[in-house]
Amino acid sequence: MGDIIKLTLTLTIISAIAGLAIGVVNDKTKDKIAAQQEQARLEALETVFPEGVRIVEMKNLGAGVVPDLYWIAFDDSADTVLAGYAFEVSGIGYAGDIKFMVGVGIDGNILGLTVLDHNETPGLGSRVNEIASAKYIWYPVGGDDGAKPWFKEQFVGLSSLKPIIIDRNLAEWHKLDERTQANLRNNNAVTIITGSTITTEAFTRAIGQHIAGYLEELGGYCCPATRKEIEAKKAVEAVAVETNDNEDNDTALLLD
Amino acid sequence: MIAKELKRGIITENPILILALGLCPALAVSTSVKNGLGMGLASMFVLACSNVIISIIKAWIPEKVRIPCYIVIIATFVSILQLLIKAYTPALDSQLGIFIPLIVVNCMILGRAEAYASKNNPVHALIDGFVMGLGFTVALLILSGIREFLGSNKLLDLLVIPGFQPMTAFILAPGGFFVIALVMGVINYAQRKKGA
Amino acid sequence: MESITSIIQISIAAVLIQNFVLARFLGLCPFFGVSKKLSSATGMGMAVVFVMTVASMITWWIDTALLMALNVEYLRTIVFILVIASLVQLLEMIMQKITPALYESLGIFLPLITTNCAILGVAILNAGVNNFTGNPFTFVESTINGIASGIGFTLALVLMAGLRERLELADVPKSLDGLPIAFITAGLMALAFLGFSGLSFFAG
Repeated sequence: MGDIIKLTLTLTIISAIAGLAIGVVNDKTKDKIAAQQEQARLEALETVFPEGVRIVEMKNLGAGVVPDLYWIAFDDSADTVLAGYAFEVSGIGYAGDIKFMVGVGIDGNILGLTVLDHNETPGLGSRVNEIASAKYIWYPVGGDDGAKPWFKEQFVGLSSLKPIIIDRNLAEWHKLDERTQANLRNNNAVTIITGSTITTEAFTRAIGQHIAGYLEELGGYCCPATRKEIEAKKAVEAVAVETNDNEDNDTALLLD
Repeated sequence: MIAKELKRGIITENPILILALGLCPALAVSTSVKNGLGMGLASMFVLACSNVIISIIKAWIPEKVRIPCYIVIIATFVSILQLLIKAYTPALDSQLGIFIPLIVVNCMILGRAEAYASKNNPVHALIDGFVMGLGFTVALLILSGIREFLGSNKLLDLLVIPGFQPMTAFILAPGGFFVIALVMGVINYAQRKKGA
Repeated sequence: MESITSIIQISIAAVLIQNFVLARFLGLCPFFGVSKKLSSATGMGMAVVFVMTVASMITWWIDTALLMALNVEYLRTIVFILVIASLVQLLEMIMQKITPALYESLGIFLPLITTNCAILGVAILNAGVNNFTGNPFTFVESTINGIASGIGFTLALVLMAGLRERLELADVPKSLDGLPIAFITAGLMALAFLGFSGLSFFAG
């Protein structure tokens, strides 16, 4: 009997210390992890919008198809010019969800696309992030050669309001000549990564399913409000939230 | 003595290539040199820390529950490491994915706890954890180097030979098995040459 | 029936497309350690199916009812491994008492299972996101995933044991004898299993 108590006690003490230690580390790293996620989101926003815009985060608490969190961008030169929206979308890929962020202009054309999270097979689907760099290991210095991730690059300029076609006769966009690339663009089409059709379909399908609906709800593809109005309203909201928690739904969507 | 220990960990008792321990992470993450290095260092950290702690408290652990105790200690360091990786190198976290928590069941770590740390003093256990972890990392670098080069004509994301057509199969699952088989075969061949 | 499609999808994916051993590289130690004889491979396979199923069920409850409810998901690794270790021990004792015959045949494999990364692997994968619906796994889906993953492991293990029994008689280059030739065999099997990735009903 004494043996059992001793065994149980040892294991309990060790587990308790272990749990405590992990708890302490979790507490210390919590803020840092949150900051990293925030940073990742900021970087993603920078890649899906062109340069020279000002990005405002929007919270949508109302009903409808638009996600709870999305972003709008204003042209920095003029406060009233809306440059576009950014949404987080996810599509079902080969090995689980592919989460990506897509920026669209008010005309529905894709401004940029970046992958946030995926579990695709290394060497196949994971090449969504591949950079078609021509840098060799023998002379690695020489700075950035300007190469961008080609898979995401081919979506830029396509319309999200029409279905995006997958051209099954072509693959590996970065290896095609400029004329073929232009042809693809005219047809609103993309190529696949060799051996990963399902991965590509996750993107085209998710864009086709969601983006047009979002844009329609946000006001018929057109500028709903000026930046000054929105920021003024946001400031009012912030004060309102601080002083009084009652206000929710009507302050949420600024665009109705 | 250090040189002798290093030789033991990296060559004569290499955990992956000679003892065939810790094969799951070795094959799963050796798709690129970056991943291999990350996994190697992560395992080295867990191995060294758990070796030291187990060696310190070995006298108080009853024989019958020693394995669960070791596993709890290893799992603690893995969880701590997981949080640290998330906080400081999020890119590595998304690359290694499920294989970070699975360091817990890397049989190399439990194997060293049972075979070495539970019988030696903390300083020796630390050295053992360090050299064994180094051996694990070196083996991962060899495997991932071969696979990244043959599978994508790259090393550390930089191209290697102009015009070489890479064979994607080497990055996929079958390639992992083939590469480790050939590396082990070469080692066997070298040992037989030496013996003959 | 939405749920039946999802169950079929999960099973086929776990057995063939994302086979634990040949595609996910989980459970390699027992895969190479216990595949020398067909009879022990079958025994090990059965033990893994059993433990994986029970572990999937229990860890799902603990994850949903305890860890998520209390918001301590960061303790997942340590809790899961403790549960699996004690579960294996408990099963060993229960089997010894209730079904001595089954214990005779499976008992010796049980202690080996604690450090089989496939068991912890399936528990952690179940805690993630379902590949087909995009939602977290339900209890039934978790259980099915456990059973199917175990069957996939057994399938690979038994095939491998059959091949290795024949390899005994083959004239293998001396340097490749033993583990290396087993790795090459596994590589060829993995190549064959890659063919299943064309089986696509991921496009829902």
